[in-house]
Amino acid sequence: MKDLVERVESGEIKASVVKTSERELVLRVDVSDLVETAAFFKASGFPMFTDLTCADYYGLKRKPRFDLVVILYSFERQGYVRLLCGIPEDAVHVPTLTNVFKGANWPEREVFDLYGIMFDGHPGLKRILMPDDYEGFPLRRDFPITGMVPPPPLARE
Amino acid sequence: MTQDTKPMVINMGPQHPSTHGVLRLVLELDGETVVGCEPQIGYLHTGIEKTAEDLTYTQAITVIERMDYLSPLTNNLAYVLAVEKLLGIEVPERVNVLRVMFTELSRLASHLVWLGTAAMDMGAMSVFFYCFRERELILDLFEMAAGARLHPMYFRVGGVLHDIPDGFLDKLKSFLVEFPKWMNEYHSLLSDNILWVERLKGIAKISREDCLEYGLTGPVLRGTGLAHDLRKTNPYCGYESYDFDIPSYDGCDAYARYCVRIDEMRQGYRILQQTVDRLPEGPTHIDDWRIFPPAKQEIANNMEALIYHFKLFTEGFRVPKGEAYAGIEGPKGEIGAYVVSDGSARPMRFRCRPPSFYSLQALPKMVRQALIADTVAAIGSIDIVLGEVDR
Repeated sequence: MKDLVERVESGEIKASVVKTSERELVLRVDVSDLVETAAFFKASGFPMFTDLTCADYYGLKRKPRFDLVVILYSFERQGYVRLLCGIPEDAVHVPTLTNVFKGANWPEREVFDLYGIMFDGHPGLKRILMPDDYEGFPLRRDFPITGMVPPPPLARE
Repeated sequence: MTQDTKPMVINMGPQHPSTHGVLRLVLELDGETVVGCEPQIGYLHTGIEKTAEDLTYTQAITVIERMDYLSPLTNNLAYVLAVEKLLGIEVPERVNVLRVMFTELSRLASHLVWLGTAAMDMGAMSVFFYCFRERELILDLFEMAAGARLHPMYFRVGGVLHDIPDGFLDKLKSFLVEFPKWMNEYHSLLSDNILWVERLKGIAKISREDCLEYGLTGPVLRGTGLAHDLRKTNPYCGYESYDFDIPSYDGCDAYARYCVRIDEMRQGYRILQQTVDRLPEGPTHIDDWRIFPPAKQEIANNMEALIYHFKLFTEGFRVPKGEAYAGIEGPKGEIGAYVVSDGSARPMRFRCRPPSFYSLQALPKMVRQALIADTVAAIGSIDIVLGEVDR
């Protein structure tokens, strides 16, 4: 992974290194560079799309609040690259990765369903695990573990 | 006079004997041919990831093991490895061998269920009973070691629950003596059967490029000719010291995946033989009372043991801030655990990378222009379990 670390530090890859080890490289990427960096890694030996998920740092009161995590795998290097992308709470629009990896379709729907992050350009962004008419984003840390039961009253201002 | 026909949209599931769980497929049919397929999931969503955030790291194992309920210890292992990465601890050698032993038993159990249910969907109902008969022996072994058949929760952070009882190794050895004979029996029942081969050859094709795009791993990827296995490339628990092969077949279809899984069962048997032979003496957990509780006998005499026991069972152990991903080779593909810790005794975020979720995403591509019966064969060949898909 050393050559990739050098390319990041030289500025060729627009990211910053969080940590690195023999089989793993963790980078922090900006939202605007996410698609380009993912496409770069896909073209330079990381063809396997492993995972796309999100973490909510609400309890740590960190800004930006969400962390989008993209994990890719390389067969030649036998290692993972993990892209962490900070997403602020209010501007929750992120470019979709479905044009780079077709397998990002359902994970992005799941992140939208459970966290409320919208992906621009996604072919069909709708809830996947929760019912279609569900209100709220369950995996956010300020969403109660018992759920929003009973439902809010009909009379709303 | 010709009839004006148009495609018909019907529902397959969520309650259907062949969809292997509560999976809803909205099929657009032109006669018997599937023109469009949209899987709708979420019927088994129980909020495991949310629940795990509210439990301590040890309590979370309870819910995490229930995701892929057919091979429970693989979920357990992925999570435990991720937390051990965050803690930075190394477990003793006996723990590693026991973990390999039980993970391979889990793999065999999962593949037996796959074989039984896939054969039953195709109409070969006797295979179902034979496979479950063998699986009963594996579940008896789990019960002997950990007390529960389907959710043993045997692996813990820092070791295993407790040592295997006397008589366990003898029972395992007698299972291993009988197993090859049954494997050859099932193999001959199905592989030499022209009906079985005709039902599976050429069905549910997916190319290797699509596998990589969609994130398909495990037997589906090895059925496209790429012999990739995380146990060889990114070994964990000492897998680099075991002698086994990675089967792969070129067909890209359901028959290739069937052959891969049959061979994987044989290789799993090989690994189990080696674990029985090499099981070393030693402790079954790390020697750190801050993480793994002291033995009950110590508590009566030792004040520190009592204090640590109390702290571990009321608050739990704290994990330093950070995030870690541990991917292992489960029977259905790469199962990974992504754990984020905020420094407290409860995980801030637990994410399971479910292989069945990605396999199901690629299903519409596999069943394009196939018959409904081939859809059933396709679902059987990709080996999904809805508990993992929905969590």
